Amino acid sequence: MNPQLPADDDPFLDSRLSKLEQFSPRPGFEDRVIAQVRVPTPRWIRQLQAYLRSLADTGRVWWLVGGMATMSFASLTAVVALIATNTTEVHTAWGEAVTRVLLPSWRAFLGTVADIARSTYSLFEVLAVPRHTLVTVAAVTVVATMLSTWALHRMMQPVRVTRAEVDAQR
Amino acid sequence: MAGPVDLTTATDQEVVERACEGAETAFRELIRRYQRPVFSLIYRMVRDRELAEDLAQETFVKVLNALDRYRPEFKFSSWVFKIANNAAIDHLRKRELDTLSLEGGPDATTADRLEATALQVGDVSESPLEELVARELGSTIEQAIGKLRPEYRACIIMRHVEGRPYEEIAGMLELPLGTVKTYIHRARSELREMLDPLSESTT
Repeated sequence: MNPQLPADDDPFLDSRLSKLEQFSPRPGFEDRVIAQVRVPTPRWIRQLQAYLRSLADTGRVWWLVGGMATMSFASLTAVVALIATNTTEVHTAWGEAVTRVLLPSWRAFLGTVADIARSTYSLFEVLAVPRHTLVTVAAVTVVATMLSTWALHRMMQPVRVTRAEVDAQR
Repeated sequence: MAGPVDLTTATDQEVVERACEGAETAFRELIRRYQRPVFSLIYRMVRDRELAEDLAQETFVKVLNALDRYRPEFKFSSWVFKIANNAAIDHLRKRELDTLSLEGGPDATTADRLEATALQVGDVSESPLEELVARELGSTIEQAIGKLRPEYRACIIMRHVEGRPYEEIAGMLELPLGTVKTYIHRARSELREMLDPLSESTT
Protein backbone atom coordinates (compact mmCIF):
# COMPACT_ATOMS: atom_id res chain seq x y z
CA MET A 1 0.00 0.00 0.00
CA ASN A 2 1.37 3.36 -0.96
CA PRO A 3 0.77 5.95 1.81
CA GLN A 4 1.55 8.74 -0.66
CA LEU A 5 -1.55 7.91 -2.72
CA PRO A 6 -4.91 9.39 -1.70
CA ALA A 7 -7.26 6.72 -0.34
CA ASP A 8 -9.66 7.18 -3.28
CA ASP A 9 -7.00 6.06 -5.77
CA ASP A 10 -5.49 3.19 -3.84
CA PRO A 11 -5.37 0.13 -6.15
CA PHE A 12 -4.43 -2.20 -3.28
CA LEU A 13 -7.54 -1.21 -1.35
CA ASP A 14 -9.62 -1.46 -4.52
CA SER A 15 -8.39 -4.97 -5.19
CA ARG A 16 -9.23 -6.01 -1.62
CA LEU A 17 -12.71 -4.48 -1.86
CA SER A 18 -13.38 -6.03 -5.25
CA LYS A 19 -12.86 -9.48 -3.72
CA LEU A 20 -15.77 -9.01 -1.34
CA GLU A 21 -18.54 -11.40 -2.25
CA GLN A 22 -22.25 -11.72 -1.65
CA PHE A 23 -23.55 -14.16 0.93
CA SER A 24 -26.64 -16.34 0.70
CA PRO A 25 -29.26 -16.86 3.38
CA ARG A 26 -30.16 -20.40 4.45
CA PRO A 27 -32.10 -22.52 1.92
CA GLY A 28 -35.86 -21.99 2.12
CA PHE A 29 -35.56 -18.23 2.66
CA GLU A 30 -37.88 -17.55 -0.28
CA ASP A 31 -40.61 -19.81 1.15
CA ARG A 32 -40.28 -18.30 4.60
CA VAL A 33 -40.81 -14.82 3.16
CA ILE A 34 -43.70 -15.85 0.90
CA ALA A 35 -45.46 -17.43 3.90
CA GLN A 36 -45.70 -13.95 5.45
CA VAL A 37 -46.63 -12.00 2.32
CA ARG A 38 -50.20 -11.18 1.37
CA VAL A 39 -50.36 -12.02 -2.34
CA PRO A 40 -53.16 -9.80 -3.69
CA THR A 41 -56.22 -11.15 -5.48
CA PRO A 42 -55.63 -11.07 -9.25
CA ARG A 43 -56.49 -7.66 -10.70
CA TRP A 44 -59.28 -8.88 -13.02
CA ILE A 45 -61.12 -10.44 -10.07
CA ARG A 46 -60.74 -7.21 -8.08
CA GLN A 47 -62.04 -5.20 -11.03
CA LEU A 48 -65.00 -7.54 -11.43
CA GLN A 49 -65.71 -7.36 -7.68
CA ALA A 50 -65.51 -3.57 -7.77
CA TYR A 51 -67.79 -3.44 -10.80
CA LEU A 52 -70.38 -5.73 -9.19
CA ARG A 53 -70.17 -3.69 -5.97
CA SER A 54 -70.71 -0.47 -7.89
CA LEU A 55 -73.68 -2.05 -9.66
CA ALA A 56 -75.19 -3.06 -6.33
CA ASP A 57 -74.48 0.34 -4.78
CA THR A 58 -76.10 2.29 -7.57
CA GLY A 59 -79.06 -0.08 -7.97
CA ARG A 60 -77.97 -0.86 -11.51
CA VAL A 61 -77.71 -4.54 -10.61
CA TRP A 62 -81.49 -4.77 -11.14
CA TRP A 63 -81.03 -3.39 -14.63
CA LEU A 64 -78.40 -6.07 -15.25
CA VAL A 65 -80.61 -8.89 -13.90
CA GLY A 66 -83.58 -7.51 -15.83
CA GLY A 67 -81.51 -7.27 -19.00
CA MET A 68 -80.26 -10.84 -18.66
CA ALA A 69 -83.80 -12.13 -17.99
CA THR A 70 -85.17 -10.21 -21.00
CA MET A 71 -82.39 -11.57 -23.21
CA SER A 72 -83.06 -15.16 -22.07
CA PHE A 73 -86.78 -14.72 -22.61
CA ALA A 74 -86.22 -13.18 -26.06
CA SER A 75 -83.89 -16.06 -27.08
CA LEU A 76 -86.41 -18.65 -25.89
CA THR A 77 -89.24 -16.90 -27.72
CA ALA A 78 -87.15 -16.73 -30.89
CA VAL A 79 -86.41 -20.48 -30.73
CA VAL A 80 -90.08 -21.33 -30.13
CA ALA A 81 -91.17 -19.01 -32.96
CA LEU A 82 -88.58 -20.56 -35.28
CA ILE A 83 -89.86 -24.05 -34.54
CA ALA A 84 -93.51 -22.98 -34.85
CA THR A 85 -93.01 -21.33 -38.24
CA ASN A 86 -90.89 -24.17 -39.68
CA THR A 87 -92.72 -27.19 -38.31
CA THR A 88 -92.15 -29.41 -41.32
CA GLU A 89 -88.41 -28.69 -41.59
CA VAL A 90 -87.89 -29.11 -37.86
CA HIS A 91 -89.87 -32.37 -37.87
CA THR A 92 -87.86 -33.74 -40.81
CA ALA A 93 -84.55 -32.66 -39.25
CA TRP A 94 -85.52 -34.18 -35.89
CA GLY A 95 -86.57 -37.44 -37.58
CA GLU A 96 -83.25 -37.62 -39.40
CA ALA A 97 -81.32 -36.90 -36.25
CA VAL A 98 -83.22 -39.65 -34.43
CA THR A 99 -82.73 -42.24 -37.16
CA ARG A 100 -79.13 -41.34 -37.97
CA VAL A 101 -77.67 -40.50 -34.57
CA LEU A 102 -79.89 -41.19 -31.59
CA LEU A 103 -81.22 -44.65 -32.53
CA PRO A 104 -77.83 -46.11 -33.54
CA SER A 105 -76.28 -44.68 -30.38
CA TRP A 106 -79.06 -46.12 -28.21
CA ARG A 107 -78.75 -49.52 -29.90
CA ALA A 108 -75.00 -49.51 -29.42
CA PHE A 109 -75.44 -48.66 -25.73
CA LEU A 110 -78.02 -51.44 -25.25
CA GLY A 111 -75.73 -53.89 -27.06
CA THR A 112 -72.85 -53.06 -24.74
CA VAL A 113 -75.03 -53.40 -21.63
CA ALA A 114 -76.36 -56.75 -22.89
CA ASP A 115 -72.81 -57.96 -23.55
CA ILE A 116 -71.70 -57.03 -20.04
CA ALA A 117 -74.79 -58.70 -18.52
CA ARG A 118 -74.25 -61.83 -20.61
CA SER A 119 -70.56 -62.08 -19.64
CA THR A 120 -71.39 -61.58 -15.95
CA TYR A 121 -74.11 -64.21 -16.09
CA SER A 122 -71.84 -66.73 -17.80
CA LEU A 123 -69.16 -66.02 -15.19
CA PHE A 124 -71.54 -66.83 -12.36
CA GLU A 125 -72.73 -69.89 -14.26
CA VAL A 126 -69.15 -71.14 -14.45
CA LEU A 127 -68.68 -70.51 -10.74
CA ALA A 128 -71.87 -72.52 -10.10
CA VAL A 129 -72.85 -70.47 -7.10
CA PRO A 130 -76.32 -71.34 -5.73
CA ARG A 131 -78.99 -68.75 -6.52
CA HIS A 132 -79.82 -68.00 -2.88
CA THR A 133 -76.12 -67.22 -2.20
CA LEU A 134 -76.08 -64.72 -5.05
CA VAL A 135 -79.24 -63.08 -3.74
CA THR A 136 -77.70 -62.89 -0.23
CA VAL A 137 -74.46 -61.37 -1.57
CA ALA A 138 -76.44 -58.79 -3.59
CA ALA A 139 -78.61 -57.90 -0.57
CA VAL A 140 -75.58 -57.59 1.73
CA THR A 141 -73.82 -55.39 -0.84
CA VAL A 142 -76.84 -53.08 -1.13
CA VAL A 143 -77.21 -52.81 2.67
CA ALA A 144 -73.44 -52.24 3.13
CA THR A 145 -73.46 -49.50 0.49
CA MET A 146 -76.41 -47.79 2.14
CA LEU A 147 -74.76 -48.04 5.59
CA SER A 148 -71.45 -46.67 4.28
CA THR A 149 -73.24 -43.76 2.62
CA TRP A 150 -75.07 -42.97 5.84
CA ALA A 151 -71.83 -43.19 7.91
CA LEU A 152 -69.98 -40.95 5.44
CA HIS A 153 -72.81 -38.45 5.53
CA ARG A 154 -72.68 -38.40 9.35
CA MET A 155 -68.90 -37.95 9.36
CA MET A 156 -69.11 -35.01 6.98
CA GLN A 157 -71.61 -33.11 9.09
CA PRO A 158 -70.16 -29.92 10.65
CA VAL A 159 -69.82 -30.03 14.40
CA ARG A 160 -72.86 -28.45 15.95
CA VAL A 161 -72.57 -27.09 19.43
CA THR A 162 -75.55 -25.61 21.14
CA ARG A 163 -75.40 -22.36 23.10
CA ALA A 164 -76.13 -24.38 26.28
CA GLU A 165 -73.11 -26.64 25.62
CA VAL A 166 -70.84 -23.62 25.06
CA ASP A 167 -72.04 -22.05 28.29
CA ALA A 168 -71.55 -25.33 30.13
CA GLN A 169 -67.93 -25.56 28.84
CA ARG A 170 -67.25 -22.06 30.16
CA MET B 1 -54.75 -7.79 -18.58
CA ALA B 2 -51.02 -8.02 -19.43
CA GLY B 3 -49.83 -10.90 -21.56
CA PRO B 4 -47.42 -13.59 -20.36
CA VAL B 5 -44.04 -12.14 -19.38
CA ASP B 6 -40.82 -14.13 -18.95
CA LEU B 7 -40.10 -13.05 -15.40
CA THR B 8 -36.44 -14.03 -15.46
CA THR B 9 -35.69 -11.53 -18.24
CA ALA B 10 -38.29 -8.91 -17.28
CA THR B 11 -37.28 -5.61 -15.71
CA ASP B 12 -37.96 -4.98 -12.02
CA GLN B 13 -40.86 -2.69 -12.95
CA GLU B 14 -42.50 -5.40 -15.06
CA VAL B 15 -42.08 -7.98 -12.31
CA VAL B 16 -43.58 -5.56 -9.77
CA GLU B 17 -46.54 -4.97 -12.09
CA ARG B 18 -47.14 -8.72 -12.36
CA ALA B 19 -46.88 -9.04 -8.58
CA CYS B 20 -49.46 -6.28 -8.12
CA GLU B 21 -51.75 -8.27 -10.41
CA GLY B 22 -51.54 -11.12 -7.90
CA ALA B 23 -48.91 -13.42 -9.48
CA GLU B 24 -47.07 -15.29 -6.72
CA THR B 25 -44.31 -16.22 -9.19
CA ALA B 26 -43.52 -12.50 -9.53
CA PHE B 27 -43.14 -12.18 -5.74
CA ARG B 28 -40.77 -15.14 -5.77
CA GLU B 29 -38.78 -13.62 -8.64
CA LEU B 30 -38.26 -10.39 -6.69
CA ILE B 31 -37.05 -12.35 -3.66
CA ARG B 32 -34.73 -14.43 -5.86
CA ARG B 33 -33.22 -11.29 -7.40
CA TYR B 34 -32.54 -9.45 -4.18
CA GLN B 35 -32.13 -12.05 -1.44
CA ARG B 36 -28.31 -12.24 -1.76
CA PRO B 37 -27.54 -8.50 -2.00
CA VAL B 38 -30.01 -7.62 0.76
CA PHE B 39 -28.81 -10.40 3.04
CA SER B 40 -25.16 -9.53 2.38
CA LEU B 41 -25.72 -5.86 3.21
CA ILE B 42 -27.53 -6.62 6.46
CA TYR B 43 -25.13 -9.40 7.41
CA ARG B 44 -22.13 -7.10 7.02
CA MET B 45 -23.94 -4.43 8.99
CA VAL B 46 -25.02 -6.54 11.98
CA ARG B 47 -22.38 -9.32 11.70
CA ASP B 48 -24.76 -11.99 12.99
CA ARG B 49 -26.02 -14.54 10.49
CA GLU B 50 -29.27 -15.50 12.20
CA LEU B 51 -30.19 -11.92 12.99
CA ALA B 52 -29.28 -10.84 9.45
CA GLU B 53 -31.63 -13.47 8.09
CA ASP B 54 -34.46 -12.28 10.35
CA LEU B 55 -33.90 -8.67 9.32
CA ALA B 56 -33.66 -9.61 5.63
CA GLN B 57 -36.91 -11.55 5.97
CA GLU B 58 -38.51 -8.56 7.70
CA THR B 59 -37.26 -6.31 4.88
CA PHE B 60 -38.79 -8.46 2.16
CA VAL B 61 -42.09 -8.86 4.00
CA LYS B 62 -42.27 -5.08 4.40
CA VAL B 63 -41.37 -4.43 0.75
CA LEU B 64 -43.64 -7.06 -0.76
CA ASN B 65 -46.63 -6.17 1.41
CA ALA B 66 -46.28 -2.53 0.36
CA LEU B 67 -45.79 -3.14 -3.37
CA ASP B 68 -49.00 -1.27 -4.18
CA ARG B 69 -47.43 1.85 -2.65
CA TYR B 70 -44.22 1.53 -4.70
CA ARG B 71 -43.66 4.51 -7.01
CA PRO B 72 -42.24 3.35 -10.36
CA GLU B 73 -40.31 6.60 -10.93
CA PHE B 74 -37.79 5.32 -8.35
CA LYS B 75 -35.53 2.31 -8.84
CA PHE B 76 -36.94 -0.77 -7.15
CA SER B 77 -33.47 -1.83 -6.01
CA SER B 78 -32.94 1.55 -4.27
CA TRP B 79 -36.22 1.13 -2.42
CA VAL B 80 -35.32 -2.39 -1.26
CA PHE B 81 -31.82 -1.38 -0.14
CA LYS B 82 -33.18 1.65 1.67
CA ILE B 83 -35.56 -0.49 3.72
CA ALA B 84 -32.83 -3.09 4.34
CA ASN B 85 -30.35 -0.46 5.47
CA ASN B 86 -32.95 1.18 7.74
CA ALA B 87 -33.73 -2.21 9.31
CA ALA B 88 -30.04 -2.80 10.01
CA ILE B 89 -29.37 0.73 11.32
CA ASP B 90 -32.49 0.63 13.54
CA HIS B 91 -31.33 -2.66 14.98
CA LEU B 92 -27.81 -1.37 15.64
CA ARG B 93 -29.19 1.71 17.41
CA LYS B 94 -31.54 -0.42 19.47
CA ARG B 95 -28.73 -2.80 20.36
CA GLU B 96 -26.61 0.12 21.49
CA LEU B 97 -29.38 1.17 23.88
CA ASP B 98 -30.05 -2.36 25.07
CA THR B 99 -26.39 -3.25 25.70
CA LEU B 100 -26.20 -5.15 28.97
CA SER B 101 -23.69 -4.30 31.59
CA LEU B 102 -21.14 -7.04 32.09
CA GLU B 103 -21.58 -6.61 35.83
CA GLY B 104 -25.31 -7.44 35.71
CA GLY B 105 -28.73 -6.49 34.42
CA PRO B 106 -29.95 -2.90 34.80
CA ASP B 107 -32.78 -3.91 37.14
CA ALA B 108 -30.60 -6.09 39.37
CA THR B 109 -30.54 -4.61 42.88
CA THR B 110 -29.12 -7.37 45.07
CA ALA B 111 -25.74 -9.10 44.85
CA ASP B 112 -27.41 -12.40 43.93
CA ARG B 113 -29.37 -10.78 41.07
CA LEU B 114 -26.24 -9.03 39.87
CA GLU B 115 -24.40 -12.33 39.73
CA ALA B 116 -27.32 -14.09 38.07
CA THR B 117 -27.73 -11.49 35.33
CA ALA B 118 -24.03 -10.85 34.72
CA LEU B 119 -22.78 -11.85 31.28
CA GLN B 120 -20.36 -14.77 31.34
CA VAL B 121 -17.43 -13.99 29.08
CA GLY B 122 -15.28 -16.73 27.64
CA ASP B 123 -17.26 -19.73 28.83
CA VAL B 124 -19.20 -20.25 25.60
CA SER B 125 -17.66 -22.54 23.03
CA GLU B 126 -18.01 -21.58 19.38
CA SER B 127 -21.15 -22.99 17.76
CA PRO B 128 -21.20 -24.14 14.09
CA LEU B 129 -23.05 -20.92 13.22
CA GLU B 130 -20.38 -18.82 14.92
CA GLU B 131 -17.71 -20.80 13.08
CA LEU B 132 -19.48 -20.03 9.81
CA VAL B 133 -19.63 -16.33 10.67
CA ALA B 134 -15.94 -16.38 11.56
CA ARG B 135 -15.17 -18.01 8.23
CA GLU B 136 -17.31 -15.59 6.22
CA LEU B 137 -16.49 -12.35 8.01
CA GLY B 138 -13.14 -13.29 9.44
CA SER B 139 -10.87 -11.99 6.67
CA THR B 140 -8.85 -8.84 7.38
CA ILE B 141 -10.91 -6.70 5.01
CA GLU B 142 -14.22 -7.96 6.45
CA GLN B 143 -13.01 -7.30 10.00
CA ALA B 144 -11.88 -3.84 8.98
CA ILE B 145 -15.29 -3.09 7.44
CA GLY B 146 -16.89 -4.34 10.64
CA LYS B 147 -14.97 -1.74 12.62
CA LEU B 148 -16.27 1.19 10.54
CA ARG B 149 -19.12 3.40 11.73
CA PRO B 150 -22.46 1.95 10.51
CA GLU B 151 -23.01 4.90 8.14
CA TYR B 152 -19.56 4.45 6.58
CA ARG B 153 -20.08 0.70 6.45
CA ALA B 154 -23.38 1.05 4.58
CA CYS B 155 -21.82 3.47 2.09
CA ILE B 156 -18.75 1.35 1.43
CA ILE B 157 -20.82 -1.83 0.96
CA MET B 158 -23.24 -0.11 -1.40
CA ARG B 159 -20.39 1.38 -3.39
CA HIS B 160 -17.90 -1.47 -3.54
CA VAL B 161 -19.95 -4.66 -3.14
CA GLU B 162 -23.16 -3.62 -4.86
CA GLY B 163 -21.47 -1.19 -7.26
CA ARG B 164 -24.11 1.53 -6.79
CA PRO B 165 -23.40 5.07 -8.02
CA TYR B 166 -22.96 7.86 -5.48
CA GLU B 167 -26.27 9.51 -6.41
CA GLU B 168 -28.20 6.32 -5.83
CA ILE B 169 -26.49 5.74 -2.48
CA ALA B 170 -27.39 9.30 -1.48
CA GLY B 171 -31.03 8.62 -2.40
CA MET B 172 -31.08 5.30 -0.57
CA LEU B 173 -29.57 6.62 2.62
CA GLU B 174 -31.37 9.98 2.39
CA LEU B 175 -28.09 11.85 2.66
CA PRO B 176 -26.72 14.76 0.61
CA LEU B 177 -24.45 13.64 -2.22
CA GLY B 178 -21.49 15.49 -0.68
CA THR B 179 -21.95 13.64 2.61
CA VAL B 180 -21.95 10.28 0.85
CA LYS B 181 -18.73 11.17 -0.96
CA THR B 182 -17.16 12.28 2.32
CA TYR B 183 -18.29 9.10 4.10
CA ILE B 184 -16.84 6.91 1.38
CA HIS B 185 -13.59 8.86 1.36
CA ARG B 186 -13.27 8.61 5.15
CA ALA B 187 -14.25 4.95 5.13
CA ARG B 188 -11.56 4.21 2.56
CA SER B 189 -8.98 6.13 4.58
CA GLU B 190 -9.89 4.22 7.73
CA LEU B 191 -9.81 0.93 5.88
CA ARG B 192 -6.42 1.75 4.46
CA GLU B 193 -5.10 2.53 7.88
CA MET B 194 -6.50 -0.68 9.31
CA LEU B 195 -5.19 -2.79 6.45
CA ASP B 196 -1.76 -1.20 6.39
CA PRO B 197 0.61 -3.74 8.00
CA LEU B 198 2.94 -0.90 9.07
CA SER B 199 0.22 0.88 11.00
CA GLU B 200 -0.83 -2.46 12.54
CA SER B 201 2.69 -3.19 13.79
CA THR B 202 3.07 0.28 15.29
CA THR B 203 -0.23 0.15 17.20
